[in-house]
Amino acid sequence: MVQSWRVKPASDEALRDLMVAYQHGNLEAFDRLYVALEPELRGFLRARAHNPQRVDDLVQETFLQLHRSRRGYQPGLPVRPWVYAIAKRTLLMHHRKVRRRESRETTELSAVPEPQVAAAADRLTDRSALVSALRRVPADGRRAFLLHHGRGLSFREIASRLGIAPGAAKLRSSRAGSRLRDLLRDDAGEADD
Amino acid sequence: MTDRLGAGEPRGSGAEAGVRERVREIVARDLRPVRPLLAPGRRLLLLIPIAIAAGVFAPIVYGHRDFEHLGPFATWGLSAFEWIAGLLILAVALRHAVPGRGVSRRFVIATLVGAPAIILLVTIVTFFIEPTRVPPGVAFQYWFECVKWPMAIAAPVLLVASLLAMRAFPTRPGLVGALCGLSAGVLADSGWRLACEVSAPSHVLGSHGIAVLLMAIVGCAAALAIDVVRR
Repeated sequence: MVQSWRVKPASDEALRDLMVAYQHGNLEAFDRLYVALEPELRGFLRARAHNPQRVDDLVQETFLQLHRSRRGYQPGLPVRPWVYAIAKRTLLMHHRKVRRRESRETTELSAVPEPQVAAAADRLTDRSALVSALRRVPADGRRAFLLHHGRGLSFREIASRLGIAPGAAKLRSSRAGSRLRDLLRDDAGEADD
Repeated sequence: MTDRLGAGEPRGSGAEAGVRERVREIVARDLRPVRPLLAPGRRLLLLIPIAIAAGVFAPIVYGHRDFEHLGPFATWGLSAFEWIAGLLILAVALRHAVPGRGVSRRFVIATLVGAPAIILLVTIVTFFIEPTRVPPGVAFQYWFECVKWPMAIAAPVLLVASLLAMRAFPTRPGLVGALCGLSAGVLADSGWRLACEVSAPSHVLGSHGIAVLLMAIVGCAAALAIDVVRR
């Protein structure tokens, strides 16, 4: 069997032999399957994953799913269609999970009121107070807040720019607004004193 | 590692090597020989005895309608036709369960539409040959019996078929489960139609048809539950 791996490098016939050896409990066969399939699977998943940072997780999950369902491979049949069907399923499950999470975040955040920062800012006589307060807002939140309120970008646009979920962008902006309001209120209180 | 597959060692980054190490560790911990799954055709052969039992159970145990009046075509003939259709749906389910070997979407839709169409056809032909209606005052009782018993007869078929199908780790478990349930329902109905003395389409479609539909829903739900638990 080892000889046949040498004869047809990376061909589906070689993969079939490896798959059968893997079903028989041969760890080396799995190693070789991984080496042969990982680059093309990575490319496949990278092309379809919305977030490139998740590709490593998807590759890992695909191979673990392949391991769990190795009994389902029927010797003699092409390996790649079987592996790619598993990869597609892993990807689909990942997209569903992301959509569900985003939907939950958006639902939870729809109840968060928009901060009334503009009204407070109008009362400021010194613009530097606003700049100073903004500097004290955490950088992540400040960026999302300024992109939304300053540049008028939607949370979806901010999300794609920052590489985060739209729900997370809204949450960051909302928290930054609240923080800014508190800081401005504190500053105004100190000035009155 | 020698370059037997022409791929050599992975040339990826540290993160890629980390993924490989993690996967290898999990696989090495769990690796043991497994017996490959039988081909869909051979798994179907395993199911034939239980499918036959589902088809003949009702007419043998609960008796049957007037065979002499109906004739062999409208009794065993139509039941055999329905039974074969149920077996074919099961074959589609077992084939579709294997990742990478699924049938086309058009074929699946044709199967899902074809099953009720076959039941409808058998019902109309039977009613045309011998129209019988539900006696007055017992409509609910007849309805309930004709939902309960086909489902009870189909349950063992669904159980075994689902287990065989889910062993392949299907990529669309819900659909595979629904097809298993549909086939179990059709197989059970092929026998139950001989035990039920009513041929009125309103009764047959409203009870026998509902039982088949419920089996498809139960099959879908069971397969999804198995898939979630297994993950």
